[in-house]
Amino acid sequence: MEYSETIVKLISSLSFAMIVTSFGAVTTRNLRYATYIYAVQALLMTTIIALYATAAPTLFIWSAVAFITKFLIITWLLLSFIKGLPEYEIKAIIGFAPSAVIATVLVVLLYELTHKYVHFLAPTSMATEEPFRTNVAVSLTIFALGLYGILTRRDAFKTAIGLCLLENGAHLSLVSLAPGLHETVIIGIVTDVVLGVYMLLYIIKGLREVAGTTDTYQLTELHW
Amino acid sequence: MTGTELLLCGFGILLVGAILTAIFGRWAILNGWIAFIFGFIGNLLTFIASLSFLMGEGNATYIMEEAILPSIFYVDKLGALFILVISFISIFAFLYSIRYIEHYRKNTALYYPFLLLFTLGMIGVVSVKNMFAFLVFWEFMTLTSYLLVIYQSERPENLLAGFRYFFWSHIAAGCIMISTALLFVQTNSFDFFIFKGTMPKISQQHPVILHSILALFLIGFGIKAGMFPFGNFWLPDAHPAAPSPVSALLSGVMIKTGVYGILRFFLWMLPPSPEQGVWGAIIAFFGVLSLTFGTFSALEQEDIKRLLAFSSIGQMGYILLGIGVGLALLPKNTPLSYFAFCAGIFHLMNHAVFKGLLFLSAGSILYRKGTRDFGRLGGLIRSMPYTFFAVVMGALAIGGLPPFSGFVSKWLLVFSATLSAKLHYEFPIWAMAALFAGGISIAYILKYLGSAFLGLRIDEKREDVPLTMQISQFVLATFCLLMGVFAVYPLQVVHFSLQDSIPNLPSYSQLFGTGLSITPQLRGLAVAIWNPLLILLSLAILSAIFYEFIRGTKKESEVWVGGTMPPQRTLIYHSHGFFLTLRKGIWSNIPNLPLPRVERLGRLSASPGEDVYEPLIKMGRGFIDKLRRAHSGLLQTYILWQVIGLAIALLLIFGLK
Amino acid sequence: MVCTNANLILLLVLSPLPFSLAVLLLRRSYTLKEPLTIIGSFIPLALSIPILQRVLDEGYISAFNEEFLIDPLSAIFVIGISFVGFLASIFAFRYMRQEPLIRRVGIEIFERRLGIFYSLFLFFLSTMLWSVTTNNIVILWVAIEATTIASALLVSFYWDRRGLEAGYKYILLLTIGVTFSLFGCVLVYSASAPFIISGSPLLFTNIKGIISRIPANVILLSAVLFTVGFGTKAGLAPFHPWLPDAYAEAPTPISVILSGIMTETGLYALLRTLGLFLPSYGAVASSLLVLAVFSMILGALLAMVQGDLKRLLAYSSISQIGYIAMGLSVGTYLGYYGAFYQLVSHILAKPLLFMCVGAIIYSIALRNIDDLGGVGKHMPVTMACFFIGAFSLSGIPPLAGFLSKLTLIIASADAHLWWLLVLTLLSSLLTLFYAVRAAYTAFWGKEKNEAIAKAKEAPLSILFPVLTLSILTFLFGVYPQLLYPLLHAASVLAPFK
Repeated sequence: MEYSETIVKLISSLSFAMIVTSFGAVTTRNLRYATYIYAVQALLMTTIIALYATAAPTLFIWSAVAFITKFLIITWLLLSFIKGLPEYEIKAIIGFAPSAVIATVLVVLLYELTHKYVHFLAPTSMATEEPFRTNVAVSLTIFALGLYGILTRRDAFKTAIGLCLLENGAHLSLVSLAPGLHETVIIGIVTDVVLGVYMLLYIIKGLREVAGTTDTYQLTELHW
Repeated sequence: MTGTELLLCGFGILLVGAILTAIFGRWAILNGWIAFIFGFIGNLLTFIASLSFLMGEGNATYIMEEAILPSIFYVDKLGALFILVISFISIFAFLYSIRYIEHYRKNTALYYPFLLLFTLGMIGVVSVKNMFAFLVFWEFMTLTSYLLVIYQSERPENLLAGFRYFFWSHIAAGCIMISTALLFVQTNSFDFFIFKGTMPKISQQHPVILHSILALFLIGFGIKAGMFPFGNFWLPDAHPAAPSPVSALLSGVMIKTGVYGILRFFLWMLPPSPEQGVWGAIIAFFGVLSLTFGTFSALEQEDIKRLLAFSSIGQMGYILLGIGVGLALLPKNTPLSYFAFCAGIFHLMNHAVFKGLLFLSAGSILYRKGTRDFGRLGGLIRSMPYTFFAVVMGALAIGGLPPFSGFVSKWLLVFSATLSAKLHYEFPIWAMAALFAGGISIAYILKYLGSAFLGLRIDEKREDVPLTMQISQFVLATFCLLMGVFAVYPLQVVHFSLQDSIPNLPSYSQLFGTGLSITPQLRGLAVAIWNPLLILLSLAILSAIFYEFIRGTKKESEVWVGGTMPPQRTLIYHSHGFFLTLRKGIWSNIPNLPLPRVERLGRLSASPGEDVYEPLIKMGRGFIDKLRRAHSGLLQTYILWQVIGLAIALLLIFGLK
Repeated sequence: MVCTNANLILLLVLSPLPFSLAVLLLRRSYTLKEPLTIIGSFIPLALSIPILQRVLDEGYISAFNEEFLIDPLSAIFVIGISFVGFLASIFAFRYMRQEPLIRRVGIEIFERRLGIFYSLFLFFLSTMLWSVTTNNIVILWVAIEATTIASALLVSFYWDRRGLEAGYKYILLLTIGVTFSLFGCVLVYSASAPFIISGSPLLFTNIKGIISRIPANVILLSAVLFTVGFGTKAGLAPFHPWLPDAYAEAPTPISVILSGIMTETGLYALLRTLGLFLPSYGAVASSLLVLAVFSMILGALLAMVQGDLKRLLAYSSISQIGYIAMGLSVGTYLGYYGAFYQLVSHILAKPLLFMCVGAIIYSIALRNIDDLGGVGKHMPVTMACFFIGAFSLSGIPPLAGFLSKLTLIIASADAHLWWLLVLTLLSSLLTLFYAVRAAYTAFWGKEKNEAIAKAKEAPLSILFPVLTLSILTFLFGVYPQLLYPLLHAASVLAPFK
């Protein structure tokens, strides 16, 4: 698949923006803003997929699917859940400044890793070439950031956002790893993701109502 | 009916009995009689079957449908001997249980079915030729006996004892299973005969594997047989916990199945070879260890059944010593080896009878007096004269006094071990140890006799146990004497039992001469002689003289208690005395002997809980607690584990590539 | 309707769904929910019999261009899932209507929740059946993830703090874990796509043929991802922490399903995916073996110190799953046979034990060993069944667990893995320790609580599944020939050889 120079550049810059928004969604303490940033991230992802679709038209359907599920539904779910929550999240385990350092290290590390060992990782020769190589790096970074978010945020709601980011990373990687995947399969995957996020949020809501807390530090009644 | 049919018939009757007794559990006496009738008929049939196998030419094989398990039942003469012993003792255990069990006031549906199945399991263990079936019966036996041990489950110490028994039995089963797996890999079969056939090949090609197999078998069967460093962990706890007829079965016959295993795999399966000699010497060594340890520890006990349990360890030592000496000498091809085998196996039969008897008598005391503590017993000779008589007979047998059964086997053992000095220099030393321990066993059995039956009376009323219990005691007591006086017949049976296992075994008369007297022949010369009639005669004359001597001097008086009547029973002369004297006399005079002190040994066994389990448990608990606390409940930790797990999987897969 | 393979499979997977929908719609009804659930879970069981028959006759059956495929391996799981599902639905019939819960939330809300419960229950069953019948590598992932989603609310059915906490950890840990394996599925798919000329590159049957042409690195990488992802679902240590929480806090019928079949479904996915590589990549098997042994020992050790009976059984599940995975990674015929036997004995024994604990909870609302004691006098049948389960777990003849463990031990000896043999025996000793200890401290000894004096045997609808499982545990222990054709067919199956 051939992409024009501009599209490749556009993809690169959008990818960078996506990393930044992911980081923002993880570290922003205001829950509402974090959700908005997530929405931007999802929108960016939709756009990136759409840009990839210029060379492979089937990806337009992917883009549409991502737009509906990742952007519309999940953002709506998150926003409707946010009502009644305090404005700010519970203080995270790792603060903003160290997080920034860690995130930078992660980005550089994963970029280096995917570029140096791309032959090692990539299932097909296509994935070893630009812009797919960058795509793999970016999606892995977002996946790692999502995981990082879940690992370091104490607020259960933020872990849900972390999970969404993680799933977005996985979804984005499909573009370069498995562009030939059938649409029904993609729909199956995203349905799972959406339902999973819904169930998670529903349970967190229950926790907030019954236990009165969404702090994972306090959710340690089941132990040993 | 052929022997095979009799055997299977016996199995069937035992099974039917188990089902019936499970139904009539609420009516204890009725259920007891049902159990006795079925147990009696079933065991009688297996008894007759085993006799027919022992005397006759053929072996029992029963071909089941190939698809299920190819021909699992097979009784050769070695197995037949064990069936003989098991069935014989079981009959009396059933007879004794009828009245005995009533003082537990519990539903007997938890007792009789398991008792019937237990005997079935034991007979099953010794009558199969397939390792798989062997393991199934072995576990079946363990399971049913475990349920019997914890019959009185409302007492926590019984549950603990039962648990120890179960746990150690499964360590034993684990060892046997590893060996089985090793054998299976080598032979691709579970069949004993194929094991036997492949043995020479394994010993040539993989000597290490052969030795590991044998070592594991020895540990596994040794645990069951109560061999010293292994068996003492469960045996002293489990025997007292079980109801007395079950103790009698456990100690009298079940631990013998361990010996059966040793005989089957070290004698029958191994071809005469240097390996056999080496393992024989090892078994003999463990035998000596057990007999020393068991006998000394028994002396220290304050509980009748515990004393008897330790004594079982000691007596198993004799049996193992005999078998070990026999195995060690077998490759050297000398008749001494056969004498040692006969001694060991004959002692096994004797032990079954007298230890069964002694446990039943302990049960009688428990039945009437409600305690097994020597400190709270005394003077029972008046209230329970028949039981006293039975215990005296058992004591004379276990002490190895002529003309009782224990004497003949110990005598055979000691002389065969002593005469083998040229071949194995250590055996005479073992023989000395056995003789010495024989003396100690008289001491501990006198402790039992003296503390329980002599001394101050605890009450005057004459109330011996019910008739059925007396009968079982009486018959076994009689056998203690008969098997000594007419030792020829059981010895012939023992000789039969070895025919399948030792090729080219000389005939009985070549070994032991003819007639009622036993004259072991070495190179055509009688090297010793046991003539019961002569001994009886001389004993009679001696007794007459002695009686004449003391006739005029006999007078009745109260036990001397230091001038005044003690205010409390606890202050009277105690059963400790039997041990303290010995301890003072022997051990304090040689304080610097670099040997493990007998107190230490005694303590190790008297409460294995404190010395062995607790440090282990503590250590384990600390470790497990750390593991447990790692599950802190914090979500983030768990996710971190996933990430670490991912890293480990990466390292493993790419590292192992 | 013609009983083609396609119809059968489709009906098998989909038949619980209309009932699920009906229960959801009729959730206000007081009487219809349970019968509908029982029927809905009975149909798959009824269908699995002809399916089994056909699988044994024809080797395998497939439908829709092999999108769905049932070979003997899947058939074991199909039977297991539908059977345990059916028994669990019978068990739930009386068990779920417990007074304290109804009193806490009020009858109206309770009925509504119960409707959702049964509806999700049937849906859960359907997703599990789907995941073991699909032949599509990505759909396998989708179905596995769907089982997580369907069961999350079931885990936190009681909607109290503990239940919700368990549900939260359950869904989050599982979703993260399983997402790893999505990468694995996609990697395998796209690496094999260029080599597959005809047919869909998503199907296992197609991928298997060209697996040797995929670059080794991709295979190893995806093996790692599968191990982490489906390993989490299967409850292998160190991915297990969700498991004890979920098992302990879920309502007992759900614990039964989770322990008896859901983790096994995870194992099935692991087996299917790693089964693609196992023959030619020893490293994959060895690393799985390490994890398996680790779980085996860790689970048994932790089970020894648990007070809560359900938590104890949960840790024991980790250990038992370790056994199965151990047998699979030994990789010989005997290893597979032992693993499948162990699978069957675990599918029987663990639900049995959970149901016995459920019966105690139903009767006296106690489940901690320290509070129990002497229950056996009042509940003899439960006691007998619990002992059968505990003995089967610890491998005592003549129960199914003995044969399976013996086979595993022989398999490891056969493969000359002596250390493995010793560790297996060690852990079965530990199993014996905790299982028997739990059994007798709960059922014998002193009654430590006055509530126990009022204990009585649970109603028949609770005892029926318990008894059925006990009988089968015994039956498969004394008559292993019954299982032989199926297990043999699964063990000689090409993907693993």
